[in-house]
Amino acid sequence: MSYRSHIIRLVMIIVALVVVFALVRSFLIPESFGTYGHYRGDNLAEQMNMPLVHLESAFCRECHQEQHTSWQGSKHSVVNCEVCHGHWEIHNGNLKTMTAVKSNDACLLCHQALTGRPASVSQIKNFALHRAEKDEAKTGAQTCVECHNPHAPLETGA
Amino acid sequence: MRHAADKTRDNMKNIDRRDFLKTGGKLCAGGLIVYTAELLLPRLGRSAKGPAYDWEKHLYGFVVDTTLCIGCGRCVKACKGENGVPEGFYRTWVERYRITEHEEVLVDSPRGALDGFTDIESEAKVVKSFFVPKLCNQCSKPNCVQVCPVGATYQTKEGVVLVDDKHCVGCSYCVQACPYGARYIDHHGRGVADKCTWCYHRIRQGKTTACVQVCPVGARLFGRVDDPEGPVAKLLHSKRLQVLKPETGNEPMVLYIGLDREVR
Repeated sequence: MSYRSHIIRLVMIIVALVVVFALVRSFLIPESFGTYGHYRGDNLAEQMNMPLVHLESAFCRECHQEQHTSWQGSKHSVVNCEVCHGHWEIHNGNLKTMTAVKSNDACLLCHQALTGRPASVSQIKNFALHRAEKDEAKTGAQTCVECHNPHAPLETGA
Repeated sequence: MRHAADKTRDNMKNIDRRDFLKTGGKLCAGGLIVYTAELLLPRLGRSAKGPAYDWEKHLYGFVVDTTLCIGCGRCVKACKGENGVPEGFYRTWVERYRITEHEEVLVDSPRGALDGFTDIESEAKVVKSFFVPKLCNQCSKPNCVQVCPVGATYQTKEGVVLVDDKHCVGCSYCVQACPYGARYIDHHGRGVADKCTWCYHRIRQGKTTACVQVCPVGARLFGRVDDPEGPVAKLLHSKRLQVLKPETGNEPMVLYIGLDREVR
């Protein structure tokens, strides 16, 4: 019985160690860690709350009904507004900042005949030849969109 | 004031060292226990159920039809815009495979196809060529999650593998572990790992991913695989699909139509 104090002391040291361990652990591990699994549960909300940058084309119709209607019935209805016009976030806040990419390069991203490109979309093999054929001198057109309406490509005029 | 201070000093003098240590120790231990309990109790009481929508009932899949892809790279641009992917890094990219008459396999992906592709002169005749869009395969058994030493990358119940940028220490084990090269360490930014999230912020709102939304030829399809009426499940049940590098055993949830043996 004379060793009782030793045992008590040992138990107290162990208890103190456990408490210290629990404390250090609670400081080092984020609060929501382990809520859903072996990760910080709060991160799910952080991921979810990222802002939307692209919206659907139907949203654009709210203001641009005329363009939306002609686009919707055309072959280009598979191309979202934001592909050529840039994403919504550019437009958001300052409505004047959104424009369209009108360069020939933008059209050729899809319509240039290319090694590996399937024949499913209309393709132009020789751009210079096409311009010569369409009598560039007569029309004076320098860009695709001067002849091809991007909203309804089979109708002429921008 | 002065009297009170003197009195306290007198009392202090009457305590011997042993008593002082005993009392002090007890007070400290008590304080620690109370403090610990305060830290731990709210955690025990935390509700274990998930957010409002039932994420256990949304298992997602992604189908890429390589026979439709025209290599315009609009997916790459949309992804960068939607997710703020830094210059020089790609969460999705498009590769072009060109197979020559000598069975040589040439692969190119200029800037991940952000500006599309251009024709490349090659000495040997190209007999076959096609585009292969790539992205994180959101594996069912992800290596990257397994190797993360801090629990910064994880798999949601919907099968999406995410990276917690606040918890990641940037050790890049996951980058090495990924068989698909889908991860990168953003060295210009915070130096933590990042990758495709299947636009988690969009899909949780019922929207599709940015890359799927802008694809003009429908080469990409995203949706639930556990909904038999959904477009993805219908494809699963009608088409013959392949995954990239099945030998790694990661069981990707990105499925491909029209993969060729040359594709890695």
